[in-house]
Amino acid sequence: MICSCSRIKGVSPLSVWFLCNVTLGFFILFYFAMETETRRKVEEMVLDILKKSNIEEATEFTIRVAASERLGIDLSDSPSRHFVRTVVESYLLSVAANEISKDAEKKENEDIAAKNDDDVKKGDVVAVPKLKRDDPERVICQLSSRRNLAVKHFKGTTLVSIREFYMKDGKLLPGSKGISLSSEQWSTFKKSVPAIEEAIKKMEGRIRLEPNGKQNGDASNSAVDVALEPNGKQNGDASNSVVDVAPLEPHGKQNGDASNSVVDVAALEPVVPIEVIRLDGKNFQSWARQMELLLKQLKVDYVLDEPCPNPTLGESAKAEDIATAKAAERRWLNDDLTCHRNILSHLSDPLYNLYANRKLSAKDLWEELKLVYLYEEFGTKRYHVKKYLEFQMVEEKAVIEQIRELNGMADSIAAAGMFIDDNFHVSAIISKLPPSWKDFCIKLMREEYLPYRKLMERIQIEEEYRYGVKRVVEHSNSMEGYHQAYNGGHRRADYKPLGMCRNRSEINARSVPCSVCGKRGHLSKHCWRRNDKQTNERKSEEDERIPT
Amino acid sequence: MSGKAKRRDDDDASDADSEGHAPPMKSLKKDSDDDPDSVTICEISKNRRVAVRNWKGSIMVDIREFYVKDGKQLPGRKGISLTMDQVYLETIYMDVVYYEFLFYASVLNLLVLMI
Repeated sequence: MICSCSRIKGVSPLSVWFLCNVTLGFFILFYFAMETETRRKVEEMVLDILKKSNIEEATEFTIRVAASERLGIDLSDSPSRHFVRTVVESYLLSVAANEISKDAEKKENEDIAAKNDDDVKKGDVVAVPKLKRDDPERVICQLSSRRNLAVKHFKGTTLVSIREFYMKDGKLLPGSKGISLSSEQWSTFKKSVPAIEEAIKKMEGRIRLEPNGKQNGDASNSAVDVALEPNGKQNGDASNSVVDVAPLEPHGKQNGDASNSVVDVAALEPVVPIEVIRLDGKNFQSWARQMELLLKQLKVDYVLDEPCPNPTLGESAKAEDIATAKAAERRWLNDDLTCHRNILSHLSDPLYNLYANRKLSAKDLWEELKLVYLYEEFGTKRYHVKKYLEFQMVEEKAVIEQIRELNGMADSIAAAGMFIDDNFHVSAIISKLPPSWKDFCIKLMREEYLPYRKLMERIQIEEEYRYGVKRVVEHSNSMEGYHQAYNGGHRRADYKPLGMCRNRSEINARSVPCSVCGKRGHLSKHCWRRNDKQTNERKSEEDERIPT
Repeated sequence: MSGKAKRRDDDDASDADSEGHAPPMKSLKKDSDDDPDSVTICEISKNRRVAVRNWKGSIMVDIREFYVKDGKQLPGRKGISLTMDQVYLETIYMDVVYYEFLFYASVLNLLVLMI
């Protein structure tokens, strides 16, 4: 193929082209002059001979001689030889022999042609040109084993056929895969060849990038997967770390709190902002409130509300859960101990001695203290109120002294948390005056506005007046004094329980000397000098009476 | 315990979010991959095209006849895809084909003259 191509490329002068065209036209004319039937017979015979004989050994001359012998026709003339050559070449094309064998046959054919020319036309001067150009279809090149680029003549038009051939019965036949381009299409395609080359380069560049792109895609997918898995692992680790850290931090805090409490105790509690007074059995409410604040500040107050977590509940649980439960239990026990110690440290000494030796949890200790002292305090309140309500002034004592006792009771009731109105207290004092002061009570009740100070002034004045009346009565008539003594005895019978208390106080007054004035006959808390000058004067008067 | 549960819930939520985002990215990639595969160089005639395509990692020059169906131009049966080596061979022998054209044209002219 390459040789034939090079030969064709060598043809460049126009004169040579012209001469060849004229000669070829002449030969084509003779070709069509042959009879159809003869051509058919010759074609069939040549094909038969080609099939039977060996292609390697056969030559165009031999085939032509054999055909002429069988048919009895002389095929030595030019048109006949041309026809035979055409048939042979078409058969060769269908057989698709190797290029080397084709070249060999071509050389042999050339030699035979030369010989024939010499034999037949000895005197001819004109050289016979190569007849390959006369072929109706010429294969320019083979793109692959079964694909050919060929130029063919079809219905008066020349076509460039790029087609894929298939093997059938030992022949190569054109298949359906292919395309035939007209001269215009072919020229357009030829012009676009540079564009095709550029596109090929771009596509090659893309192909180089695409594997990278695919790798990137795979990498991104794997990155997504990796991102998910590490997240899951990190989450697991985070939860584990939370489990691990949760019990550790409270331990640290407890240690800090313990050291703080130790420091506070060592330094006599200078740092603690909450000052908790010690529980003495009567101040449970205020003590409890302050104690709760302190425990909350130390962050151990939950021990009093929540029970101890039990790690043995989940025997079938995982090791992590068991470890968590144990850590929680350890933490709870530490907090319980801290809470217990804080409660004990804020008890008064008798209560501390009472509860220190008993093994109780903080919650149990708290509940027991509440049970005992809160309700006792409530009992104490009731007792104070009862004393206040049942208090009654007597004739033997000074009214002002008895009013002070009543004031003390009112103060204790107020300290217990119950509020007493001043008007209420004043009314109570008026209602509790001795029976002999009935007229005075009526006068006081009639007045709308009577504050405590005014009441006390009135009572003092009235008492001075009544003491003067008694002296006159005593001095005037001893019999009247006897009656008064009798009346006093009767009153004693009416108020026996108070009488006993009164007797005790009188006994004490007589035996023990007063710490204020140093004299006997009254208690220091009842000393006149403590209260008022007038009261002192009365006391001095009484002292004067006693020796008489 | 409640704190841990909340954290786990948050983690699950984040996982769901990330999973939700993945599919559209994949589909986008698939869509984008198809576009730059073929480059149409020129049209030889009204229904024939020359295109350079990427088919399974190899570059092909496709000379094919298209047909119209439902308003779309689809590649038909008439055509041939040339591999790179075949394209080069064709390029080498293009001049030869041109000379062949000249030869046959002259032959036809002679025939016409004869008649």
